[in-house]
Amino acid sequence: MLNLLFLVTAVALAKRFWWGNISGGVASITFVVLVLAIGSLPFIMTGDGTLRGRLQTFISYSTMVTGFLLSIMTLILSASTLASEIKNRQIWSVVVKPIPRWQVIAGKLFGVATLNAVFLVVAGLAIYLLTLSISRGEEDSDEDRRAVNDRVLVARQSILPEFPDVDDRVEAHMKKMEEADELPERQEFQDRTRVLTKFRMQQGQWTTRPGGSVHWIVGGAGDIPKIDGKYRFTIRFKCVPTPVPPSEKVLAVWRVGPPHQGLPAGEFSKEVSVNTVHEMEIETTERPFDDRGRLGVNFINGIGNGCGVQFPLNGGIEILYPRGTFGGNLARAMVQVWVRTFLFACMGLAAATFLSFPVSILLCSTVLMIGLITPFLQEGISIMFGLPGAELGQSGWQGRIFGAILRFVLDWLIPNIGRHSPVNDLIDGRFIDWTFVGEAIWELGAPGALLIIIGMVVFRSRELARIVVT
Amino acid sequence: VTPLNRQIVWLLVSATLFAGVGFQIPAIKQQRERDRLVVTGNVADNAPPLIAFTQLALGSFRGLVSEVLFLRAMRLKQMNRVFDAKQLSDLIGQLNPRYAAVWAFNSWNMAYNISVTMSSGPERWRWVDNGIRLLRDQAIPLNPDSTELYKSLAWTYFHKIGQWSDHEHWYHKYRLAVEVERVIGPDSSKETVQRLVEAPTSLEKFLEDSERKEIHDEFLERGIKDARTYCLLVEADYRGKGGISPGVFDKASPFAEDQQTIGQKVITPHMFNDVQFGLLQYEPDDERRRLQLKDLDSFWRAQRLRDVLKLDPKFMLKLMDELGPLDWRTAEASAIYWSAFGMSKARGTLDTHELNTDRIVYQSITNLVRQGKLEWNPGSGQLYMKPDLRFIESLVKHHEMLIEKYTGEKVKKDDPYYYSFDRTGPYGMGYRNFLEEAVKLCYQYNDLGRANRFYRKLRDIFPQKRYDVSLEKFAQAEIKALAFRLSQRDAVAQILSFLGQGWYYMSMSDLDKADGFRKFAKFTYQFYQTSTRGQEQGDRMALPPWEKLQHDSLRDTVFAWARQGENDPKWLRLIAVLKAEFGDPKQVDEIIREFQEQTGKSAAQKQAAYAIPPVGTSE
Repeated sequence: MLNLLFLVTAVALAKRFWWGNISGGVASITFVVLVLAIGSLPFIMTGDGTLRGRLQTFISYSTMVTGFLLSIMTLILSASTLASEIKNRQIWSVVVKPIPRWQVIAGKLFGVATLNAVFLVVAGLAIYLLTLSISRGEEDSDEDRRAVNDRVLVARQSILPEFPDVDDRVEAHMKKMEEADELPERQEFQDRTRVLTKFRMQQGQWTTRPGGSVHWIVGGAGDIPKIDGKYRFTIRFKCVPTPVPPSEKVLAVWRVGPPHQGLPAGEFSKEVSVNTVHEMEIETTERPFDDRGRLGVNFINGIGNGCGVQFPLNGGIEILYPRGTFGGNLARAMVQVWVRTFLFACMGLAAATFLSFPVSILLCSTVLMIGLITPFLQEGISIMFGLPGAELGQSGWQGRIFGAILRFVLDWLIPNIGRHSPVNDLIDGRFIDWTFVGEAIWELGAPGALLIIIGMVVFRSRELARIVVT
Repeated sequence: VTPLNRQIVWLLVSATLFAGVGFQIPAIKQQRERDRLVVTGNVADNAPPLIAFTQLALGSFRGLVSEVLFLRAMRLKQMNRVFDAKQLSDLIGQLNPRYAAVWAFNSWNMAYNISVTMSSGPERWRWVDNGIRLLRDQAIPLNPDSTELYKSLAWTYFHKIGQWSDHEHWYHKYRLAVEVERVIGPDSSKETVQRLVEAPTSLEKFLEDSERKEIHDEFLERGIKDARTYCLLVEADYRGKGGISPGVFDKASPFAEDQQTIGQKVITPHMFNDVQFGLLQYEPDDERRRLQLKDLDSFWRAQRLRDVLKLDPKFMLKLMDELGPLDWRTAEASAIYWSAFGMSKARGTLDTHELNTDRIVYQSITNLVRQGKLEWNPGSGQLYMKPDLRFIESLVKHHEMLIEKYTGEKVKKDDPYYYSFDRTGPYGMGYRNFLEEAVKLCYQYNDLGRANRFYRKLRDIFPQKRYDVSLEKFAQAEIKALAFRLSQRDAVAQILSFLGQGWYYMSMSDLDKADGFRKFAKFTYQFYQTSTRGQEQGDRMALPPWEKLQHDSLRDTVFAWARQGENDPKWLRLIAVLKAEFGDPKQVDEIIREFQEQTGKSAAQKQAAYAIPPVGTSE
């Protein structure tokens, strides 16, 4: 009964919010700008000259524009709705009613959130339809068409091989160093030596001399689908050669099949440029994984390459297989964008409970801007003040303390919005997992909920009017 | 103090501070200009609407936006995502339209850094082309006086396409030739360029003539509405006929199959109907129709030349007058055009950009001499860049011009000491080295008249003891020394020249000498193939198979002689000797058959296929 009453109140307040803002201008202007921006992007964005590039550019920019415009609109609406009502004393007409003050905030939050949801549905539909329309355009080549269908307009699940287990070897090595009295005295340096040794040993396992090979076992491959009688998946890889061959290319020969059963369900080769990411489509009628869903992948570095080949631990190899549709992926991406706007709605409303509109909008927009470039700032501050973990940079102890405070603020008080952007996954045709969406809800939605609770507490005790006896 | 008075006081303080700042502005402005922190002129002047709007709408914030876009471009590149790189380069350039270094950097980034991350030739070419287009189509029209931009563009043509550093350089050379041939046509001789110069520059002027209007209307009625469609029609016509010249559209081109997949559109004869193809046909005795077609062809091709390749036919003709028969399909010709055009806009300050631009002119002409003939041999399908001796005289003149320009003194022909290092420095040394090279090249190609002339010149102006020998001894000593430091192109040039001389002596029935040259060619071939260059750098620097080189050399020699008349005695003697001495009638018959096929084409096509050098550039 209480819940129903709350719902009715919230809907009533949201309705009031909706009518106030749709007719007020900000929302309607944002809507028009959003539609115009998305509608004009296909004509402005040319990409790199390929159909795939055009599509990726459109998807990338349209999603970014949607997220940015809705974030700005949310901040303005949420900060202004409460602050302006307090300033103009319209709030009196609400708070004198038998409604708890937290419900006033909740109603406004509900209003902003539903408005964003409606806008995102419209934007998502527009992006989807325009993407399909662009994809029917003229391709540059057959390869371009394949890339559009197999790498962009698709949702591919990513699975990675496990890093080699080298812990025993690392400990043995450390012990050997200790016996030889080569281990640094300070624990900090010992830890660093351990980490570096582990990295070197693991990287060594993913490196091959000319004429050698690298073998990976990739778990979770049991879901690789069989389409038209063939198992289809993609190996995404990056070869780093030593020394770099004059042609700057290597012949990549791949064999796949169930591990420990001699491979191969198939063998595929392609000449690829070095130091850059490539994708190789694999099609095989033989089942490439074993009963435990493990896929064996073997890279053969022919003697003809004349160089050693290394696969970086970070991004050196990845297996991708079709799991869903582009439409579904886009829908999940829109949910992620909505979670971000939810955070800003909470932030704007919470700020407006104790700040005027200009101050709260300044505060929130600063957080937005910093949040968008958090990784860049984190890296910059670490390098500038020589913080632990940074490869470059040094400073005195005062600088390090100052840098650490800045990092603390960035790490813990500013939401890392950029980390939860769905754009990269969308343009690479990677499946946006619900767990990824869940992470965004936890990392952005939970702080938002906390902020709104703080805002409710503040608003509850805020003096909105005072009896002055003269 | 009342609130009103307080406000008045603050207003006065603000006004005083504003006035103080205002007085400082002229000095700050002067300092900014002195330190070159500002671009001269209004950035929005004469700019396209989008750029003008960006300047006005964003104001000073465009710097900030530009930074953000740069960061995005760098971040995406680190992530190996380059789909957006062209778009971002365009946007960054539009935000900084008068900042030449920004355009030059982004162009270089695409043509060099991004292109090499691609595996195949067509993928790489797309990025090289994107880099070229950024400068040629956007940056230079906005900054027509910026030498830096001309230098960057010329360098991309000269080095990225013309040189050998890129593994796909042959593909780049081929694609550039395709792009140019699509516009100019298979014949880029001086006469063709002259026709393009004479063509009206606007449709109104073209239609003033009733004859021209008639044919234009006829094309229009049948759906050929503009220059682009016309060029497509002609190309489709070539393809339908299977190619007409040893040019890029020839079926024997090693990239012929690739033509079906490259470019925005696959050009096939099916794109047009017979009625449209019929527009290009005329009866042999219908002179009026022939002239009408020629006029229309020139008009539309000139338009495409200006609109697509951004080349001015007048300046092209000027360069051809000065330098010789430039083959506009080569990278060197484009490099010369843009660097020379850049120098024509230079302020004469000879700053780094001007000096480097001037150097590209010189280096490109040098390259023309060394590898100026772009050919793929229909017989073997092998691609070649062969020396073009027709440009030696131009390069001699250019050396003398450079000495005069950079040493500040007139070249003194009667004063040998003028060329001493003290007076002419590295310019004189460069001139001497080139004259030595010219002597060797002419000697190798059996052009003994010119070899003698350049040797005399070398001895006259650089009197040295080692030149006090006969031409033959000098040349042979140089050739032996050269064999130890051959590059790929030098090796091809040398082997072909030895083989050519071998065929010559064979035709003269001097079989000992002929055999000597053939052995020397074989020695050079084996020496190169077993050298570090031939072995370690794979296909990129390796020579074509020996049999192909020999076959192509024989074919070229025979064809060259055949130009002088099918009954040339040398040619007939060679056939006789080859058949008698070497017992290889199959190879000889094949060449004869190929030759007869080629000569069976129409006279105009034959002229295009075997263009004769203009008078004054060949002996």
